[in-house]
Amino acid sequence: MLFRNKITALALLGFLSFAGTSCQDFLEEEPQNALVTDQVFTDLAGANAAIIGTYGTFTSANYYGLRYPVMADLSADNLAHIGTFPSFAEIKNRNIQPSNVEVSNMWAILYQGVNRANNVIEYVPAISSIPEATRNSLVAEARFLRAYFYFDLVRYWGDVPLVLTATKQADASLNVTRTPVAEVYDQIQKDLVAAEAGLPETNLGRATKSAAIALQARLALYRGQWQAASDLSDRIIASKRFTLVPNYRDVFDTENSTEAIFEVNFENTNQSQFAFFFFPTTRGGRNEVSPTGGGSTLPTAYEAGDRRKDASISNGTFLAGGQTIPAGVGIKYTKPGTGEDNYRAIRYAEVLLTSAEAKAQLSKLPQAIIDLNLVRTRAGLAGTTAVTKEELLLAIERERRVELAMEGHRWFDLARTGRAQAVLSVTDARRLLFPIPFRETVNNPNLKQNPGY
Amino acid sequence: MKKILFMSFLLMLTLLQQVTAQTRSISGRVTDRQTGDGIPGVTVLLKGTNNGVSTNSDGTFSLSNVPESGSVLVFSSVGFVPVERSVGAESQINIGLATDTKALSEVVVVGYGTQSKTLVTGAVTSVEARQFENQPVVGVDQVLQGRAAGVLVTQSSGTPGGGISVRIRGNNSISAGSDPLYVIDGVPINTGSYSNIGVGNQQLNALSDINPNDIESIEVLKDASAAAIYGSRAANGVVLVTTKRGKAGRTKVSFDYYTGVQQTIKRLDVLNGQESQDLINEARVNVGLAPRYVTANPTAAQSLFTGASTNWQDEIFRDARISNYSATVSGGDQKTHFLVSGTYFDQEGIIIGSKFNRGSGRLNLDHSLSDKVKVGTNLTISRSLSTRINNDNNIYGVLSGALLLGAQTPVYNPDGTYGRDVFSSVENPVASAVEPTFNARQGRIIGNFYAEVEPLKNLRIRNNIGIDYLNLKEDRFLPNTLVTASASNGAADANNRSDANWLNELTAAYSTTFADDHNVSGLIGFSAQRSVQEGIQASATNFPGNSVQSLVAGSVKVNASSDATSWTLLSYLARLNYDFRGKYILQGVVRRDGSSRFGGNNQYGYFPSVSGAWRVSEEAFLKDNAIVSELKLRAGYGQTGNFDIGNFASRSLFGVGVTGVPVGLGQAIQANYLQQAGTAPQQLANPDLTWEKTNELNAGIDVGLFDRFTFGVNLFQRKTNNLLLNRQLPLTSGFSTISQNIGSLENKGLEVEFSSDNIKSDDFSWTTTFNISFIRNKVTALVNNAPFLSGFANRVEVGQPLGAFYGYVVDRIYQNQDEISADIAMARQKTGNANAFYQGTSTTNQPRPGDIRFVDLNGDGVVTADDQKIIGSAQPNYFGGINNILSYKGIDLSFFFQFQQGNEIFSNTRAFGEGMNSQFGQLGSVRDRWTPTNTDTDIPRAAFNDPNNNRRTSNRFLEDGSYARLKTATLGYNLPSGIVKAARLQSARIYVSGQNLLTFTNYSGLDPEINTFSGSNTSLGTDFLTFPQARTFQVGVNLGL
Repeated sequence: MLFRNKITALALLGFLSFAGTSCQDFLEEEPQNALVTDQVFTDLAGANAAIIGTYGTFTSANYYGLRYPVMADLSADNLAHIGTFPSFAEIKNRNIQPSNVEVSNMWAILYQGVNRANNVIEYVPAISSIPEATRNSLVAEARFLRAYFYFDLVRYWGDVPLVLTATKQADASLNVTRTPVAEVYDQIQKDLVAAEAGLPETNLGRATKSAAIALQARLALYRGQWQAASDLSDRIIASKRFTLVPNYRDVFDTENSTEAIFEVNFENTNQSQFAFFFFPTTRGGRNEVSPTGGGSTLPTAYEAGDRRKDASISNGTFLAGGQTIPAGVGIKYTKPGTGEDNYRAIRYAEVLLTSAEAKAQLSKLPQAIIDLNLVRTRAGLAGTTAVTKEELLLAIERERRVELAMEGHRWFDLARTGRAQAVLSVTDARRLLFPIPFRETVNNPNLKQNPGY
Repeated sequence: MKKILFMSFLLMLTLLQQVTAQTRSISGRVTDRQTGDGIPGVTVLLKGTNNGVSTNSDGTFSLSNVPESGSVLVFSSVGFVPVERSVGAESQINIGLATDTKALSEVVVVGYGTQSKTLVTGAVTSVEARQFENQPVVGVDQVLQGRAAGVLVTQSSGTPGGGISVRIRGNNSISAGSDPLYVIDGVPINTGSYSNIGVGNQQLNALSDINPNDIESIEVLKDASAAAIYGSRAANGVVLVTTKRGKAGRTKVSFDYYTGVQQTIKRLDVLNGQESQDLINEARVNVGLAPRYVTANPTAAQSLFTGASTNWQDEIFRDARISNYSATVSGGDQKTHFLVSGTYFDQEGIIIGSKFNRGSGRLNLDHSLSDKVKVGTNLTISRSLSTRINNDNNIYGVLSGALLLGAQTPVYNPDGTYGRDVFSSVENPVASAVEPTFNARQGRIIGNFYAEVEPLKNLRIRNNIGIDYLNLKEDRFLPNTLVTASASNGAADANNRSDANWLNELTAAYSTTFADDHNVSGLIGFSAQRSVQEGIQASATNFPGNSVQSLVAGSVKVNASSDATSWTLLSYLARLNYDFRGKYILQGVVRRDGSSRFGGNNQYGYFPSVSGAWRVSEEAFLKDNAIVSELKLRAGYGQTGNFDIGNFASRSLFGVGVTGVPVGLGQAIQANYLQQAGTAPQQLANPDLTWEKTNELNAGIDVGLFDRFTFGVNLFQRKTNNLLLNRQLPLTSGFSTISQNIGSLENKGLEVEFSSDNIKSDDFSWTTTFNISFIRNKVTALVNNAPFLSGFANRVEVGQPLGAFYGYVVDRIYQNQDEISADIAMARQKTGNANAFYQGTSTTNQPRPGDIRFVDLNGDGVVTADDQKIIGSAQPNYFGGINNILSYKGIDLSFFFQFQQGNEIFSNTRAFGEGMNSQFGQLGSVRDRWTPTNTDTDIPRAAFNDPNNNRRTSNRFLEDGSYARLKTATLGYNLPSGIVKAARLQSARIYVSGQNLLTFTNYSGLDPEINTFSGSNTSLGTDFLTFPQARTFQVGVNLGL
């Protein structure tokens, strides 16, 4: 009896002490695949990682990894849709539903980029362990990137919400309203001017002073500030830092060439999707878009003898990865397997054409023709035959189309010059802006849809 | 945690100390007079005293302090006729008890213990082995299909070893898990897919490691009063699996084997090569494009007619083998019982390139150290190899390719390479099936070790240490003969993932009887569980050839990564049961759970339940009634939770490098650049994050009539609040979602179970069991009550069930331009906009005759996104099953139907296969497409690029998905004893069996029992090129030695 009681007591004691072991520690698990936010902006390494992460925005397939540039040629007359994605077809047909997933994804990645940049701009200045010059340089890069993201937002959507602080909590402050384009442009201008001061002269694949100036030139062109556009392009030209590579094809066969002002770099560990979407299945692609086919008149846009045609669209003899690429396929991007094709975001030829256009608008026709002919000569063409201002502007428009084909300019060029309706037979002018993603108008009562959607 | 382990160890030592014998004591064993099996839990009482014990699980007992003479022992147990026995000089008493046929006498497993079925107050369904043993079922989840009321099992595809969705009492969650908690012999196991290599939508199934042959019974705890003992994991219901155990007596040996063949139930009618090319030409010419196929002088964008006509379905479907071998040895003596079993299962898929095999072994062992102390283990070890194929929503899928690659493409070119369509991105399906390697090897150990001591009469203290260790190794190799890998010269991935889940729990159970009439039992317990998942992935490209498939041969290492994540759960639980003479029954349960997954503000929660029952049949006025043998009224109310939301959903996180979307939360991150490591905001914090809470009211009635019929009816209402929703944030914040406890939904329903011993004679017996469930699901609150889309055509909307379909409504086909012009005129008049169109937005995408006119639902004159509505639902009106088991002398026959009615299926297969808008293979139904000469049709004209968007999500692709299916039928024959004896066997049975033999449905696709979004809560009832289930014929033998 005694023994039994002893056992009972022991067992009960054991049970109680076991059950009573209140170990709060047991419930403390730490994430091992991610950082808790307050661990990020503590030192230089953390700040560097955050700015790299901001650049990482570009590598998304929804941004410069594929979609952002491709949609600008697809929605215009430079690319046909020959693949399977209904969302691509909607954009090709300019019958875009507000729920279009490509539109939502592009919008989403751009604002992710804005938030990444805002985090750097907000938190890096307070990290006292980093030398001030380094801090300023990091913040300058972030402001360049934020300007870049906002410019790309305005181009597709017009008035967009202007968010300039890092997102900290999910509350009503997230219900932002749209800011008029002009104000967004002012902020972009402000960011670029500030960035220019803090950026280095050279920095491969990253923001530089020249990139900030060139982007300001593009911005001025979009705003119709011709004098500014002319002056800014002249600064790039005068710097003599950049040259047209003699052979047009080398622009795409050489990474970060002398023509590159800002080039988004891709490697096999961080791939772009261009070639995969352009190439036919037999060449390792998925045959989604092509300069040849319904809705694209690009092949006919080249003048006879334009070397850029065979350098942009395969004539059937072009070789990539040891295989000939069938005629008609776009070949500015040639590595579907490794995805190493860079995206030429800003290159010198565009600056020359910006300069030409600005000067033509300022009725400085001879200077405009000089810049235009630099680009034409490289393509193996004779000087332009345009005489009047109107003729010259049309010539520049066509030149931009073939020079920058499949690099994400065509739609924006037609839209900003008011030529889209005539060229693309868009009956409803309101369709020159993409719809605000459906989920945005649902989730944010302050965000109004673009008219016509 | 070390402290817990140490204390537990000490405790085990304490428990294991043997109790030495007392003075005079009587031991023995109580058995069931019919079966000879030991009966556990029988009260053995020295009459006229409080001295008594309960029998152990094998029926043995030992009662001490028995007077030398004149004593009488009373043996009593619920469900058996009590016996009094006077004791002489003997010290050993073995006794057989007769079943009390008036009682629903089975014992059911209820979580941390068992209960007599008569005393159960909640909604519990038992599926016993005899309902499925000797049937060729593959997994636990499949066993439940159609056999338990309120449990909707959908085999989302025919993928061998693939995922199955089990929903108990409706869909209870939107973004957290909806799978029930599976508890194998007391060990809650991990479920779901651990795969890192996407092959389309179909997932792997972690439950496929359990061999159904080892299962003794499955109990489904459906309502909160039954399930609350599992607290924060019980909201989706609990499935308790109890495996077979050895019994004292002769060692039994059995061999079971079956083999069979599986084949397609149905194939789709598709266009032949000529028709396909003609259609593409017609579609192109209809929209002003040049024809693609010409008889001479093709341009660069054209081709000559190919002359090929491939029936791709014939190329990829096959008659496939299925076999299973298993052996079981069980037995034991008074002290030790054992069961060992081994099984090998081998299944080919009916699509070439797919197969699944599994070998597993089990050891169940119980040993009594003394009459007070018992130790034992249940252990299963398994290894499976799942060879998968690309499937479903994937242009490299096998079935996808077979339907979407036109018949004009040959299987092989004359030079022996794979035929491909230069105008299409779809891969040759034979290449997709044969060329790549997708191997998933899964090793699994599930088991527990326990020690149980009974220091005081009727007090049992049990320590249970459980493990569930899973290791999944996936290898993928894509050779350069495939489109996807031709440019990269071969691509390979390797992924290794393990999950170590351990459990340490301690329970104490006590039962006693006051004043002869008041039975009280109680349970308290403590449990700590931790699960750690770790993974390593690597990939490489550029291989020297296709022979060496390991990453070592790839010259470019594209990716290398590892990850780890974990969760813990700390719980305290208690249960109290009371009954008065088995007539008035009350139960109260409470569990307190603390979890690492939840925000600092809400780390612990309580999950209580109360329930009661009144056995009217025990009242004097009904007792011994000839008609009503059982009548019980039950009711219960309780709260359960769902903690399945991802491990760190409450934290503010920066993601690193390149990460995909973490499960259920946060966002994908690409943060590296220039081969430097970056970080980026990934998730916003929510310190208030807590459990989903389900409150459930259940009322039921159990009726037994004439000792022959039993009815069980349950009515329930289940309201789930604090639903974890990934609240969409404005994307302008840089975040797409945040996990918050916002939504609520409701399930209510009626479940009826009926069983009947139609005929019960010595030679002939026939039993029928039937169940049917009517469940209504309704979303009652969402974030801002804003609806959102899911999958291809589903929409989550307040007031609608999960799985509702949303889209446009087809009006008719435009027959001529005048109709179109009239609509445009009306649109301009109604909108006052001179440029308005009825459909389409510009002149380039205007309908033409033969295009579909959609209904302007809101009457504003133009068809816009607002002209969509709820057009159907994937939720059935009712579902259930009916099983018949007949036996006549040595012959047995069983057939089992399952059915569901009233659900719709959205066939995205048809949206592609009848789209006529692209370079896709098309279904035979498009032969009836609209042309100027074939105007009486509901199939629109062919139009390349579909300018009118005829393919938009609309009721055009929605179909009735009701079906009834002869799921299994088995005819067996027990060889006569003369032959059996001559062969030195105990028993021998041969049988033939079939699965999915008959299917009655109006659904036009391959299979109505399908979902391309395997495992989804919100994207339901969608068919998109999904691997269909097979019809199977098997022959098998069961031998007893």
